Amino acid sequence: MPNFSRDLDVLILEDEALISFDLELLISSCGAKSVVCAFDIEQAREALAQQTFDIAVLDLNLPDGESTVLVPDLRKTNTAIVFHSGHAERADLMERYPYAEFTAKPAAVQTFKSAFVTALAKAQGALPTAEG
Amino acid sequence: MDHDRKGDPDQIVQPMFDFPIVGVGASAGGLEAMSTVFATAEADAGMAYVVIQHLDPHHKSLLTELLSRVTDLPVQQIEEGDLVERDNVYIAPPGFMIELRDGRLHLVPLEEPRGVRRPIDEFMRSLAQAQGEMGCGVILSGTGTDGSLGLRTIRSTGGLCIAQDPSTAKYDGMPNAAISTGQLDLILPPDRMLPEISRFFTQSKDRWIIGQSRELYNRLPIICELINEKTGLDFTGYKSPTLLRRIARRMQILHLSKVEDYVDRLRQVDDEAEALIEELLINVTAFFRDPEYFEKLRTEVIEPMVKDPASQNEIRVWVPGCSSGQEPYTIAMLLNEAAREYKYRGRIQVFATDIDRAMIEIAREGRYSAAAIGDLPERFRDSFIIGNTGSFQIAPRIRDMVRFSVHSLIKDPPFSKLDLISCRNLLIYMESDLQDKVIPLFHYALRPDGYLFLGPSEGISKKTELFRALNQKARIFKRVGHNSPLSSGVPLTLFSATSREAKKDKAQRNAGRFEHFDSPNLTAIREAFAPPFVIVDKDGHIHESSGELSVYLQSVHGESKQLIGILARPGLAEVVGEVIETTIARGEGIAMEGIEVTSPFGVQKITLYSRMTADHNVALVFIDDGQFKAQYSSKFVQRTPEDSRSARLENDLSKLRYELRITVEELETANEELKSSNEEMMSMNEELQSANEELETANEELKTKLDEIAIANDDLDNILRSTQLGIVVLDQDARVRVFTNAATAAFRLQAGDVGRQLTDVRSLIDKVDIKSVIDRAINEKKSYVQIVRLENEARYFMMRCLPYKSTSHLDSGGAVIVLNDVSELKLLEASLGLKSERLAFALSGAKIGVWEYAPETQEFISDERLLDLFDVQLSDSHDMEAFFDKVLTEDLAELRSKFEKTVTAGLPFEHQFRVRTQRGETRWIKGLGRRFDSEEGPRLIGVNYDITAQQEASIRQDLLVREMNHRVKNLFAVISALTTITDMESETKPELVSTLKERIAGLGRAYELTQNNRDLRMVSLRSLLVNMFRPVTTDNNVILPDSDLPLPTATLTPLGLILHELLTNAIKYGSLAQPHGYLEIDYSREGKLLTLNWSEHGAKVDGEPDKSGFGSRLITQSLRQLGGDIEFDWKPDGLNIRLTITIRD
Repeated sequence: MPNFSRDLDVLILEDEALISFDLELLISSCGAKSVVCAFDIEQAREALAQQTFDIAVLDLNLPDGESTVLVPDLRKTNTAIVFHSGHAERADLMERYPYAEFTAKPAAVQTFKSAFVTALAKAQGALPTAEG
Repeated sequence: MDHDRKGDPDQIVQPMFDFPIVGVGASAGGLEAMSTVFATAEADAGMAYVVIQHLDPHHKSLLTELLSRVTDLPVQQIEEGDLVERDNVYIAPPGFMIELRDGRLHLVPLEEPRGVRRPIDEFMRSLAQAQGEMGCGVILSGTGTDGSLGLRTIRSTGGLCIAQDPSTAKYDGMPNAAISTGQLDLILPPDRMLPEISRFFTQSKDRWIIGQSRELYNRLPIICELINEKTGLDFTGYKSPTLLRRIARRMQILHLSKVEDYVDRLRQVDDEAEALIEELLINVTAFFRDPEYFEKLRTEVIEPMVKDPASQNEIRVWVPGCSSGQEPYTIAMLLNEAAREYKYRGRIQVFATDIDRAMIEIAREGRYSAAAIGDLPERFRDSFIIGNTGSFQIAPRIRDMVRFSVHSLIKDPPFSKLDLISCRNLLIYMESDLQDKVIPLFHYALRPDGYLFLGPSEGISKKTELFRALNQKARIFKRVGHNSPLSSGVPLTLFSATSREAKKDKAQRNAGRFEHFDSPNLTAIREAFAPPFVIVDKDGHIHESSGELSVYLQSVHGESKQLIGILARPGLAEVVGEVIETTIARGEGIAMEGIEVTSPFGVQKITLYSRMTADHNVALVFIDDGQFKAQYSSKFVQRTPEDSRSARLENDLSKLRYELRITVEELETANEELKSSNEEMMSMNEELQSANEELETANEELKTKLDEIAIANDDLDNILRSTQLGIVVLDQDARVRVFTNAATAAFRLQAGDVGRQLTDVRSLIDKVDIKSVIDRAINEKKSYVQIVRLENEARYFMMRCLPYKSTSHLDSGGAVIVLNDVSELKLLEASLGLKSERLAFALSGAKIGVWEYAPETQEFISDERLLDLFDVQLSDSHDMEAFFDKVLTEDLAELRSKFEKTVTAGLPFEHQFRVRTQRGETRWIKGLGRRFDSEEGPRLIGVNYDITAQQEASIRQDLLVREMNHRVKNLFAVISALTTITDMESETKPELVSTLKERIAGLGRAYELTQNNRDLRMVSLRSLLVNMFRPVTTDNNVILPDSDLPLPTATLTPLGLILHELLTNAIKYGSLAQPHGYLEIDYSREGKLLTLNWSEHGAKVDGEPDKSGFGSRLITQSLRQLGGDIEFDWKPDGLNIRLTITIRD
């Protein structure tokens, strides 16, 4: 499995601080250039306005809405999307966002790593998605 | 057109055209037959064809086209005034009848008097009257009976009548009706018709020749005799030309040209005589024939008769030759009407006779084709007839007035003491000498001042001394004179062997019998001068004798047989037998001489001569041979002198003559009287026989009626016995006539109460005035229906009291009470009522709305609760769509689809859906329904109830579960993160484990708050603190304010973790590690900011320790989530911490 390059900018959108922290540690240990944590969608938009990210790790249910509203903006910047959710059955989301990856809380390091890789590959067009 | 008015039998019609005209009538199925018929038409057969078909007047006829295709003859539709030409086919157009008149074809619009449309009859009639023997009627396939009357008329004027063989016809109604009239010449399949017709008419010229032939005329008597022999009917007095023509026609049909052949056929073929009879007895009669004359009859005969005091007891009428009965019924109707008008109370009897038994039977039944209704005056149509489809019957009260019987005017004695004789169109059949005898017969039969009514062409045979004309035109005559000159005795033996040949033949037949052929003069001479003789037969019986035979024969007393052998005197006796034998043996006469015959007086020598007589007997003639030798005996007495003897003799003779004359006169008188008595006896006999026949018929009918009544009675009995209904039948006076057992429940009736008034019987019915109920039914004919109760028991009856209806003429009145026990029903009703109330109560309590829907009629019923539930207006309670309109769009499609499935496939209906009320409130409703199939069609019944609460609860629950799941997942993630962080902070594994465990436990305590919390979103800050501190503190070392602040549940994890760290630190290193140390907490909120002050007291603080010592990373992260801040202030007494967090609502 290919490793991350060290040039990745990662956005984490998660309202539980510890989880966010945990993710931050994990992603940092995988090797990333920078990690930005947003605790709600508003903060995420602010962060997106400031820079583009290579990967976005998104919790689904934020205090101010569902993170899926950010998907169009993320697609524009070819950002890889990894949904990280406590709600296990979101099959409709998997259908709707075939280019995104899904991980369930709590996820092991390996799970994350592989999800990241796949999502990146999809975003970069290396893997065909259902969208074509 | 009038039926048969001019259709007198035997009216000689001179054909208008000298070629035959064939009228063809058809109805359903006729097109096919017609094509076949005309396909055989020859180009120059020399006949014209007129086709009448039953057509819908609005339909175009295809016939013209169709026939043009099968024949080369010109085919055209008739236009008004068309001339008839030979070898042409004329087709009647739809909507018109055709009349052949004055040599042209006329169109008559089809009317419908009483639904009678008989175009074929009408045409055939005009054809008969125009063409007579040159007319031909053909009836083809069809339904109904049109054509059969018309055929009769054609037959009566000598035309040819043909019907299609029913087995070849698509519809055999019309052919069969034609055949049943008996007036057909031929029955043929369609392809043979025209060839036969053509042949018939070609030979008809021969027919005329035959008709006038001398030979047929000569053979008439034989033919009449044969007919008499075979059928008992005597036609010798009928008009010869008629007979000739009819016989000739019959021969024509049979293709016989020799009269002798026909006579043979008559002898040998049994049915031929019958067939000939049918030809001869054409019975063309009708109701009110010559209506204007019947009108005269009414005013000049019938009304005076009814008003005349002399006939107040009885009016008697005789109609001889009545055929199928229309005439006597006509007269009966007129009499009935007049009797009513003038209040005549006496008896009216019409005797109607005819020689044709078949006709009498038809007449007695009194049933006629509906076409004949037109002959009856309007005023009679309703009251005197009973209508059926296609036919009608004379009403019983008219039929009862007429007595029919088979009777020969000529052979049987007449009726007597008649007021009216109506004999129309019978005399014209007869020869004038027969008529001369019949008129006096009528005179005899009538009372003085009686009336005679004849047919239009008839007369009284110049017997003006017997009748005078009352109305010559109408042929009404009145009897004059008193005594009837019945010279020839009654019955009139008018027809006995009066014909020439018959007489001769009879004589020949009688040759075997002896006759006294001598007159007294001849006898005297013979006796005086001829030799004595006897005539004996082969056995010696003496049949004849003449002359003085005492010398030769003796007389023997007591002998009934006169045998010559016994009577012959000695001398003769010995030889006479031999002489007879020899004479017979030789077959010729002999003579025997020298016979000495000895008698008491002497001996006579004789010669005996014998001769054979014409009838194979022997004549023995005694010739004296010499003188008589006397041998006197003393016994003899001397004669007295001549003169006194002769004087005495003369005296005796005159006396004798005188006595003889007296005797003869007395005898003659007695004879006359006897004759008279005899006549009367005969008459009475006739009447009695007539009456007898009628009685027998009536008897038969009565027997049948009795049987029917017996059965009806049995039926009634059975019904009454087996019925559960209580029935009481009352007569006009409210007396009990019949009642059933079940009725005794309501009335104390016993068997003996029949005949008592019901009001005298105890009634057990509560609160009903039986008397007035009965009265109303009997007198006012008003019905009463009520549910009643018995006085002493809880038994209920449906009681009906109805006026008694009678279908017969006995309009007897009365009433019928029917009681039907409905107690069970009543109970059921009560119990149902109760159940119904309970149900309504239950439904109302449970706020369940009920609806019912009938898919076939689209009827929809709903109740109040349903209206409430769906928020639908009362005015729309029957409009199912109004309910569907309230359903939320998202839920509507599925709802309708499920509903549909219930309607069509009967699946049970169950669905939850939302409705929106007017005010915008959304409700969840559950609907349940079932389809029931009943006799009136399928019905859907269902209930709906509000499940909003449950639904919301359910949704909330789902939400809760999801939230819980989410939380739990989150917590795992949190713990996972906690593990990572703790790992980073711990140096040894044991340290890691214990720190981690404590932290997890602390988190756990924080989450205890959510366990019993109703509100998922907020928790109490104070409770959080209490919970978190409890395990590690006491009441003494923690001070909390009394106030409380709500916290969002989302803050529990970070805040819980922070507090845990602070607490752990306080316990390990801070004030809670000191014996008298304590903690003081204080919090406040300002806008979105919550400030918590954590003051530790009683701790020894040596300077500022390393901040990052205790879970500061944890705290930092948590603060990020809380949007908060923390300030540490190490006071000498203890640590003071200021914690701020942002509250997001």
